[in-house]
Amino acid sequence: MSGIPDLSALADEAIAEISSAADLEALEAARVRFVGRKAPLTELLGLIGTLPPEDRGRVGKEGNAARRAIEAALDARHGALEAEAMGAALEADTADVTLPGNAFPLGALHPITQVRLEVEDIFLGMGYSVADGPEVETGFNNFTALNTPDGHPARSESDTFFVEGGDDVLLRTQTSPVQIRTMQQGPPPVYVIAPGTVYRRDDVDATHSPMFHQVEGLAVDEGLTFGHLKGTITYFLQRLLGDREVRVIPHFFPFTEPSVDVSVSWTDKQGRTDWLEVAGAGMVDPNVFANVGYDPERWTGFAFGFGLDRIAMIRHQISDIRLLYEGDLRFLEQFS
Amino acid sequence: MKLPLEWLREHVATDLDDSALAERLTATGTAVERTIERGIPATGANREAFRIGKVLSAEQHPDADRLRVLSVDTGDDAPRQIVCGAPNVAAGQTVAVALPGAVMPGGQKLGKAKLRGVESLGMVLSASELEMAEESDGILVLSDDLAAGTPVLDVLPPPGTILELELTPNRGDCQGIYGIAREVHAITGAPLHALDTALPPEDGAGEVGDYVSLRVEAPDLCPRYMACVLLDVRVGPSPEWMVRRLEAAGMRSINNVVDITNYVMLLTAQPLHAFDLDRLAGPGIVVRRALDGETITTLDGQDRTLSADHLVIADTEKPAVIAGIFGAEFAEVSGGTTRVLLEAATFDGPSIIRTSLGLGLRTESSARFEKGQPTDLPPVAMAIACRLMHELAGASLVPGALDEHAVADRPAPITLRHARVATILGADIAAGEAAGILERLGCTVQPGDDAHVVTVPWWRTADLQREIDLIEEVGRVHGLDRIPAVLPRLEAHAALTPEQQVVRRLSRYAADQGLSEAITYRFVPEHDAGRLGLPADDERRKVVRITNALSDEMAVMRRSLVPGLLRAVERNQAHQRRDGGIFEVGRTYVPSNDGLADEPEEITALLFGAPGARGWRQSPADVDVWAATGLAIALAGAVGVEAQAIAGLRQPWMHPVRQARITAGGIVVGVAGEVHPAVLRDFGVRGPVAALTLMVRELVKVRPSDPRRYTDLISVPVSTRDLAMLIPDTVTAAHVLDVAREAGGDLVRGAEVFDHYAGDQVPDGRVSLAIRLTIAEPGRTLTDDEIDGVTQRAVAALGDQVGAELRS
Repeated sequence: MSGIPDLSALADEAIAEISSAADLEALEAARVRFVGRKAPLTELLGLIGTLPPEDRGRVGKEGNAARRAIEAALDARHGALEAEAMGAALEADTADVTLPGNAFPLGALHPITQVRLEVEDIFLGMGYSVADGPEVETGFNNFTALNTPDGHPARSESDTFFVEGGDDVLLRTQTSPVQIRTMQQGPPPVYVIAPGTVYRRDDVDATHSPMFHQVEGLAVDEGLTFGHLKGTITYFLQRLLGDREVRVIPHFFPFTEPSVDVSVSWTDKQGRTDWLEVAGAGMVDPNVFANVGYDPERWTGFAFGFGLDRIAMIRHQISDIRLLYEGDLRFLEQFS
Repeated sequence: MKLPLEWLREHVATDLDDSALAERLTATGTAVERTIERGIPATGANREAFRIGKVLSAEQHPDADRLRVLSVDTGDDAPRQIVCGAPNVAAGQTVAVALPGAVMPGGQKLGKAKLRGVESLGMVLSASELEMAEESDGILVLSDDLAAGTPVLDVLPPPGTILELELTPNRGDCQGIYGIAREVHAITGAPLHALDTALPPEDGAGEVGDYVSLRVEAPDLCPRYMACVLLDVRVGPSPEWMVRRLEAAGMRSINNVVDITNYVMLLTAQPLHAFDLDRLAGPGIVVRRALDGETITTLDGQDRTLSADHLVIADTEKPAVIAGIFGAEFAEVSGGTTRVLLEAATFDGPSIIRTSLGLGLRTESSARFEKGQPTDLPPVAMAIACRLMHELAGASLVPGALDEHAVADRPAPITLRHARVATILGADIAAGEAAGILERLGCTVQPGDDAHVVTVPWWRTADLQREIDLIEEVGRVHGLDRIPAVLPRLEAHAALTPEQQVVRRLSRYAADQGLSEAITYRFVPEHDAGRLGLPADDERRKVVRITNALSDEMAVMRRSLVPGLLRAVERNQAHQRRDGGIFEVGRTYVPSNDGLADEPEEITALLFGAPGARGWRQSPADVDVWAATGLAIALAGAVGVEAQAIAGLRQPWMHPVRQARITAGGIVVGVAGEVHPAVLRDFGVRGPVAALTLMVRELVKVRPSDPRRYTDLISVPVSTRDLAMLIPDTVTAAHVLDVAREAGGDLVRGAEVFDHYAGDQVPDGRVSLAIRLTIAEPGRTLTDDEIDGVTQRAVAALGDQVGAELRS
């Protein structure tokens, strides 16, 4: 069978040359030489019909196999050379990635708002609604209905802002009147919190502001006990402030009985642990239920209240309350 | 209130040490604010380091006028050199000396010192350094009987621990040390010693009516008035033990008679008053309302003018005491007093509060009367005081007492249902335990299977009147900390209201655009309205006005958030902040006819300078009207409201023509524009400042409630056509878009401005504007004719209605 080249040797030779092609140009030359139109292999395959019948099958099969192997090698080498070229081009396209990237400046919600939203979300998760009431409020809702009678020192001009022209109209001193409004709106069960702005006639200094923020909570249902109050306030404070010990000690508020002060354990920078008072709470006084027409024999409930400013100040270690109300961007932008 | 534990322990024999007692008091509601340790800390080392010394000599310090160099025998082999600055030091005195190594009451350790070059091997002590008194004039000079070297701790035992208590307003009974002793008995079970209320011998001549008369003209303000007369009183200093107890409780010694009244008040919570009987006109006591304009010169030497609101204790001519609060000079006990009228009375609490606030006078006495004292208390305090007068001032008590009081009804017993205790507290407290607690509190308990019948002692009738009051007592003494904490099971039915959702989204979006949220005072100066240029008859000049504002800067409730934020910008610019964005979400206050207010919420944002990232390839532009309208429309969009900026608004506080109404769904939802330069000037702010306000209620009103419907503009081709035109400069872009949309019909899916130019190559009075129409119909491919028809109609309408000349 002279005249027919050794196809496998031819393929080996071609693959060796292709693999060593240094660039795309050399690779093209190899392609033309081994599988181009004039290449011996191409010509051989074109002449298969002229071969003796007993050789046609073998030559056709081997010839096509050699061609496929060569083309595969060409593709592989082509891919490799292209990747190399792209890599080289990219390497040359240098950039100082430490230069600032495109800026998308983020502003900040006020730290009081941030705490308020967290508080709302915790209670929303427990099934509480978020209630609301006016800041310009009646003395009845702010005091009388909450068991603070006329003549109480808190109702004096030295403690409370009064509104001109109104009959005992004032700027609410607590969010507690929202309790009254909520209960007047409908029968139990009631599960609400009421965040809001409140006012007391304190001169401005590092720890006092005539305007500040509170959150009130109220739950009224059948079978609510002091144990539920403890459970609720403990769960809430631990969600908000982390896994701290929560302590209740007896206290006095006109509209709850029993009443408690709620503290959390807090470790300061020097490593001293102390109790930090964060909230007041208690079982709703039967007089308050009577004032809104709830039957105190059927319904029991608890209420709690705490200052958002105080929690924000504790959390962010803000030592001067005035910073909260000055609109100083050097302060506000720290909370983005 | 200051509670010297040494005094307390005389009345209640508790085994608890000081800190355990403090803890138990706090846990049961008598909050211990502070524990004060007084005197020399009693340690073994301090027994050695604090010694009695004899001053052998006192020489002038060579280099300091005020210092003396002492030689002091402190019981060692040789005298010790000590430098002392006290003015009263002298040779021959017996003094208390702290040697190097002594641990002082404050905890610091004394070392050797050199004072102006002279070595000092110790310190001569004053009473204040030993924390036995609040202040002192010099060193403590002790009895010469004491031998040099004697441990000071043996001579001056430390006065001990003082607890500073924060009492709750319902516990008037705890304003005396004996009241706390009762409380300690209740919370610890420690034995309580009964107060000795035996009178001294009534050895004064005659009977009380022979000496003085009493008329109570205002029984409504004075439920009980009691007076005794004491003769042969010797006014002088009080014994040391009494002085030390008064000082420990925070009062100063005056003389034995005054000290007795204070001492008994500290013990029983019943204020007493001692008069010099011989200075009272009549002599007679009249308890009456003051006459309008009547004056009194109080003990502090001040003349005070009274009115008919004030209750006075007068003689037959003039006021001698502002009842329960402060006495007059003329009737006070002094060195020459020999006959004393002693008063123990109770007054109406609210009246005491009003008078005390009105006159700006709050005293130890008025603080106790504010809570309203029980009418059973005066005889107790009177007996103890009379006995002390006898023992310490040699007084003879005249038999009998003047005593006017209405017969008070004893409150009815209270039924305490066992089941109710569990219902409120959520803990099973045995009926027997509850009864025990109430009995220790002084109640009489008639036990029952379902309920106890409880009679409250006279000292608690003010705050224990209902079943719930008893439940609180049972709970707090049992221990609220012992009640198990559980979470209620409730059916979740909570969601934020649309207003709440809108406010949250607006704030979050504004912050995400780089603005920071401020909270400014909601009370503002009234002149803000003028500074905003609001006309005299502008509706927004109606404000909620505060009658007792802290200052003119906080006089009225705001009608707009703009002034507060302008002040914030001013403060920021004052510390060289050139650019920024600030916003606030909050209420404004519109007076309503019922005397209250409508309180609509708004978001206001101010942008000043050229806010935004400034860097190596970013350079933000100065803000202008479009910064404001753009942000306003984006904010509205963030809450699902498609808004537009419309020209023609005339807000006085904004640039007259660079301002826009923000409208949506056919109503105005806000305003946006540049702040008027004159307004900026009046607020001290540098421009440019762009501002916007969106009203929350209006946004909620036009906010679509249905979910958006999908429009198929995906499976069909969407065509765009650009139209460039010259239009008169009086025509607004919004109008051009409206006309094009209207003329094009339903096939126009969108119309927007993509270029705007005025200047060279554009004739005067004209503007070059380019708009792009997006044309498609869901579910159907439009023909070229249909698309061309849309543009032709738009072009024709623009020509006719706005005088546009199309450029191509």
